[in-house]
Amino acid sequence: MKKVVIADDSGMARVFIKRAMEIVMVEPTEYIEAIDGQDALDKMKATTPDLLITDLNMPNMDGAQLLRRIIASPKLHGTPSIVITSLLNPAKEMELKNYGVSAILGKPLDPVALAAAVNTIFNTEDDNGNGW
Amino acid sequence: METVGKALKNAVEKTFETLAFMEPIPMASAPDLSKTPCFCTEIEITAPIKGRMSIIATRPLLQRIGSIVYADMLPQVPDTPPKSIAPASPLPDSDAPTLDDAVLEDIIKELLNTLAGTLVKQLVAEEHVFSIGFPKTTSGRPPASLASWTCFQVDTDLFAALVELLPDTLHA
Repeated sequence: MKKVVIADDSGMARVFIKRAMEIVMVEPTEYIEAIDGQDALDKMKATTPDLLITDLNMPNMDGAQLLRRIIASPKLHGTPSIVITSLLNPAKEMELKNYGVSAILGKPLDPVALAAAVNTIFNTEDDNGNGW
Repeated sequence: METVGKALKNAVEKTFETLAFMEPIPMASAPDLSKTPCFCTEIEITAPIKGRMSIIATRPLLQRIGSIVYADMLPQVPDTPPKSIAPASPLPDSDAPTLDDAVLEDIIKELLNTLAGTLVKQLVAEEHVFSIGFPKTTSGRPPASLASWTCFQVDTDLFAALVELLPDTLHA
């Protein structure tokens, strides 16, 4: 079963993302919700997920710090990630490129854009013979 | 301020349509919300422009948004609707489970987080990153007068927004 960590301090945002993902995902998938970056990091270390979907603006540990910690982690380095943020503009996209993010989407989230991002990640991993 | 007003209207329309498939209609005059249960929240706009955005939403509006977003993910909801990109049909008001205040507060905060980001993106040159704070709940009562607010009718419910920016920071 595939595992996806969804990190956002808003319960409504997590539900909205989960609903959009349930439409995209053909295979059975376990969704692990995290309320901030630290919670997401702890859960990722415990479960080794196939995908991280994260907000940027979170208390305790924000999304950028979370992504830096993932890059630095031997266990989690290389985990595909999608950032969904209300702070998106071209300058922020440039900034996030250094974090190895697979896709960056804006809020309000367009479920069709999320589907395209997830399918691109899955197909890339399929072509590499890994993961999905 | 006309640019800010237009940006606000665009942000409200885009957010409500995408999140909850609702169409907010600008109102010509401020309604009286003094007798309507409301939630109020505000957020700081921190860089490169500085200011604050506040919103007020009536409790029934937040309940309807919640029933659309949460729909079949609440344990009390009967008969999960078929999956599609379009949202599940909102439950009839009589069948919709009542969401508690903590959930409604979360909904209005996420609404404001999304609105503020969508607003500021339109006001800042695209080569500048921008930042906003975290939404904070303010008083449970709306201000005595909404004359300076931008008010919207969303079906039979009401929504209002106020954007206060430091003019010197506006042209970043």
